[in-house]
Amino acid sequence: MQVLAIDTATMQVGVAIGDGGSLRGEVRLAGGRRHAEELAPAIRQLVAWTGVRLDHLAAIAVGIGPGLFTGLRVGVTTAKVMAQALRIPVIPVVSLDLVAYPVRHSRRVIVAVLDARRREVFHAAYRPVPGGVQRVTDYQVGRPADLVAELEAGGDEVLLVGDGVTAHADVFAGLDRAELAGPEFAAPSTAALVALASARYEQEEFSTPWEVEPLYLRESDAELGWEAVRG
Amino acid sequence: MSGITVVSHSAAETRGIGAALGALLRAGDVVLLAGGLGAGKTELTKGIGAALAVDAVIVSPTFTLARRYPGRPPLLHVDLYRLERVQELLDLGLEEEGDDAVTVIEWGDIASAHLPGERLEVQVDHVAVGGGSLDHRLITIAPQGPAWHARDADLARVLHGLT
Repeated sequence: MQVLAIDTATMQVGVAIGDGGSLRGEVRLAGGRRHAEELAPAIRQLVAWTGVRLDHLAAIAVGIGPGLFTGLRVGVTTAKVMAQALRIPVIPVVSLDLVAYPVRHSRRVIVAVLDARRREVFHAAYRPVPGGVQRVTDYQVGRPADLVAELEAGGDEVLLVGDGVTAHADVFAGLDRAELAGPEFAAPSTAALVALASARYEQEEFSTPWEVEPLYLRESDAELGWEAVRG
Repeated sequence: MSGITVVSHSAAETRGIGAALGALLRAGDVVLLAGGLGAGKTELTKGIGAALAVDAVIVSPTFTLARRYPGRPPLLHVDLYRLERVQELLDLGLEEEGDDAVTVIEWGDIASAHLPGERLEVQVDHVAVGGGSLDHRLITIAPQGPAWHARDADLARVLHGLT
């Protein structure tokens, strides 16, 4: 049971193949915003290197954000198209979960923070539980300073993880009793995506390609304010 | 809208005002342009582009929605005229595209709640009275957000030269 995992919610292009028990291979390309050019070749390379046949894949797992829109659109669309062509399900996983999961061995409250641009961050808090993490807040978007104030008030010892922490290092430096995860944990982990998606696959928790949408958090259904302008 | 208002008597003057503003702008800055059709938003953008050393001819991106010009820093010129929903705005990915550029958004006022709070708001009003005996533009410039207010002095110095 092999799963192809894709996450493009941040500046990183991440692709992995594996099952719940083991990772066959992983590609991480950092620091670009050329997701559209890099993703398909990365998948092709990884498939070739691991020798996994596409028609043997059980599912496509994809990080659905929240994250940077351009990358997210490329990753989610690629996952949907591949799943449809291969007639296999998609397993959508929130990218913040993929930031928290790799640091699950901490004893602290884990706060996953991804850069949302516009001087904002996406974030969620998790408690370590046996075998993983349990989310204890909603997925949210807001100013780093507001998150710091909220964490101060909560009084927990926290572990901050994700590229939003580095992007706003000056703000998070003001938080007492906080520990920072290393830069190797900054982007959503596609190895975590393989692990989480495999567990969901066993539970038959998957979606059809057309059901999967990116998670924006910022309001997207509303109409723009033409009424006020046009009178 | 509160802010500083300057008067332009011609397209060339409007471009001059744009150029003066453009000289202040840095990568990551966002400018919202408001004002009716033909008010002079694109002329103002041409001036901003000139200050950023954009070589290409800047045209209104009404149909392409957004166009990026190489410059120092690059200019991301956006026109929201054809957009109706917030989703379409998100689809443009302006945060990422504009990260290393100056972003100028025509009709930005229709999406002000969904655009960065740190921004320069510019309103261009066409005033024509008496069959062309009075024909000019009122250009009102209002900085928004703490980071822009910290640049108030720079802005005042530039605008003072224009009034």
